[in-house]
Amino acid sequence: MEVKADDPRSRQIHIATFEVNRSIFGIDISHIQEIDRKNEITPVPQASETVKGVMNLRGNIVTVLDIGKCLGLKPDPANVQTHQIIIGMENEVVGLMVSAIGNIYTVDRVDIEKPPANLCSVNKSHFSGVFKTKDQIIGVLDIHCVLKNEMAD
Amino acid sequence: MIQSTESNVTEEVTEKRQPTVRVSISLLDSLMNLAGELVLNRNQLLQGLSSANSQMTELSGQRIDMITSELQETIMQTRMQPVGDILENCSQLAMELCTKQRKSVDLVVKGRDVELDKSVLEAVRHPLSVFMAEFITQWIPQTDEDRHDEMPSLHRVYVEALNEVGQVKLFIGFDQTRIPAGRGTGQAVAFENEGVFFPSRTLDLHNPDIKKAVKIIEEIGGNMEVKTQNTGKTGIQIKLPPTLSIIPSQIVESGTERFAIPQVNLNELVRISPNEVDDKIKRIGDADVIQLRGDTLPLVPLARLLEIPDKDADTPRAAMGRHHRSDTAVHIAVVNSGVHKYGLMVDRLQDAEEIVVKPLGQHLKNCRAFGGATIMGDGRVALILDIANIAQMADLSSEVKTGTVSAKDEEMMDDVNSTKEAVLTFRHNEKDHFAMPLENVARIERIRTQDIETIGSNKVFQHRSGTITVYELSRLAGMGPLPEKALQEMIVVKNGGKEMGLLVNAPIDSAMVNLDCQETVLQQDGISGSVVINGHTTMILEIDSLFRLMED
Repeated sequence: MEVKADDPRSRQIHIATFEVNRSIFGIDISHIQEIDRKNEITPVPQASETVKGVMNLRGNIVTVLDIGKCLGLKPDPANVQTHQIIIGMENEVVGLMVSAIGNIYTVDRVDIEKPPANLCSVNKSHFSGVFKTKDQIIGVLDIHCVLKNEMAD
Repeated sequence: MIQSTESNVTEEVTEKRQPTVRVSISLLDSLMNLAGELVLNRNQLLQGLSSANSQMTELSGQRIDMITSELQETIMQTRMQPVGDILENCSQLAMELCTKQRKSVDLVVKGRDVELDKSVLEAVRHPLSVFMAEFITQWIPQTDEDRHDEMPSLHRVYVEALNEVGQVKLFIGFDQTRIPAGRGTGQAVAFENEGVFFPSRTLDLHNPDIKKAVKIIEEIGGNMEVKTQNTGKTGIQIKLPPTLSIIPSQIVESGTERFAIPQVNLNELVRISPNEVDDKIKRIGDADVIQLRGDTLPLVPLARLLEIPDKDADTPRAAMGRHHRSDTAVHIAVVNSGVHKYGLMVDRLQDAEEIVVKPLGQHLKNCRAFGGATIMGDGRVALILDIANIAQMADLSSEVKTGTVSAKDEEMMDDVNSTKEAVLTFRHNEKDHFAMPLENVARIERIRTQDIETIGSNKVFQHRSGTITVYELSRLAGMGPLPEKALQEMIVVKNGGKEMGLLVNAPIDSAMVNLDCQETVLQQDGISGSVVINGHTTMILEIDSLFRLMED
């Protein structure tokens, strides 16, 4: 169902970027099932605070997470989260609330460097690497690792 | 995924979990017929719509409604299979194991015709045999050969399936009260033997087979536990929820959200009109109860339990005893979890609807209050309430008493309970918050202001049981007058043998506070100090000196 992200045969990977709480992150595009907007989210009382709620994705109930909170970013009320990135996991799909969708970059594997030790305020283990564009450095999320961390025991 | 691994056990599981169903031709025929009818009626509906023929549209709409229900029922039938087959397998396995391990058991199989959804049934087959093997191997002692001729130590083992309020329970266990005779006379010996007979009553979760079996049960949305039933049977109980199925349910509203209560859990719906609220809903300690045809049922306020924010932010329901708001009717769904019967207080009752149960994602496994989710007609998601778990959660919160303490703080609870005291909180006017020890509260009443008589300098109120003197906290230094209202909340305060009425303002609620940590800044006659409750500086009344002060 999902394309192996770390297929050694492919030298290049595609990375989609998104913005949340004024920070830009990248995700390997093979993890992304689709990008949606304007889905109505039903909040779930008593859920952990990283869970935004659940939504109806063509008949499936999808848990929607606040990726900003998952990454421990400072909340920014001015930055409205409007888009949902739908990520295919092993046995379910999960939605991530983000404020904006950025570009898609094609990056050579060799150009992805190890994340620097002091990666902003964000937990380093969430990143699989960083890459440089013309004007900025973007952290690539190990999204499966992030989502598994958030799972209830 | 499981399919990709090749070990023996998982292969068996994969095979068992393959989604094929054997359906009788007659059932398929009727499905075919229904599908045909549906198409016919759709054509009529489309025709009616294009020609704006409202009568035709209405008619075909009704027929489509009927056909859909029938179709749904028939499809469900194709999926439902009796559990007899797997119970049989399970008991065969038990007998084989017993012969091998030289154990003698008397096997009782019950509930062969209980039906389960095919996919659930197939998924549970393997775990069940794992549990059975574990049960026989670990829990049942070997037959004592020496005593065999005296009295056979026959263990009666039960393999049961039963329908219980929307769930199917599978049970493997033995009758604890039937500890074989011949081991001694009387209960004391039997009890003593217990430790020898049944060395292990827990499941070894490190055993990979069991771990896997438990995981499968959880994957299909069930749960399992080691349990002693009321009848004295002890064993492994597997509860399977009605996943993958369409269930009738009652839709209720709390805050801005809708929730579904499975109809099987629902006994009745009760609406208590504003003027009956005080009569029917009583408060014992800090627990609300409802008087319903002679029964006293506990009330669980859903919004407060789940900390659902209120629609109108001005009246934060979480902070107030809801029944003291006499301006709105109270809606209660009387529900039954099999163990508990209680009233679930909700904001509004909506229609009954048939819903399709869908599981919640893995990030929400901790939300025990919900058994799943469903998609409503407007495309939004509504959560399905798990009535049994809500009962558990409510018991838990009634021990903690403040709504702000979440289940996560459970460990701290013992600690907290030892130092905290129950107080009744209320207000004098908009800004002055007060609390008094709950033990000094005789009762709370709502009285009409015009019924308060003024005699000399005293105000009194005629009561069923006599006359009580009524005071206000405006007598305390620095307190403004009590706002004038037609209806007035009155706390009847008791101290020793004496009672007095204290006119106060809603919301009246209760909280647990540590009275040893009072600030003394606001100390004066009648007030021993202050604590912060729910974000408000709350003055604690000192009942002894309050009585002295008031009677002066």
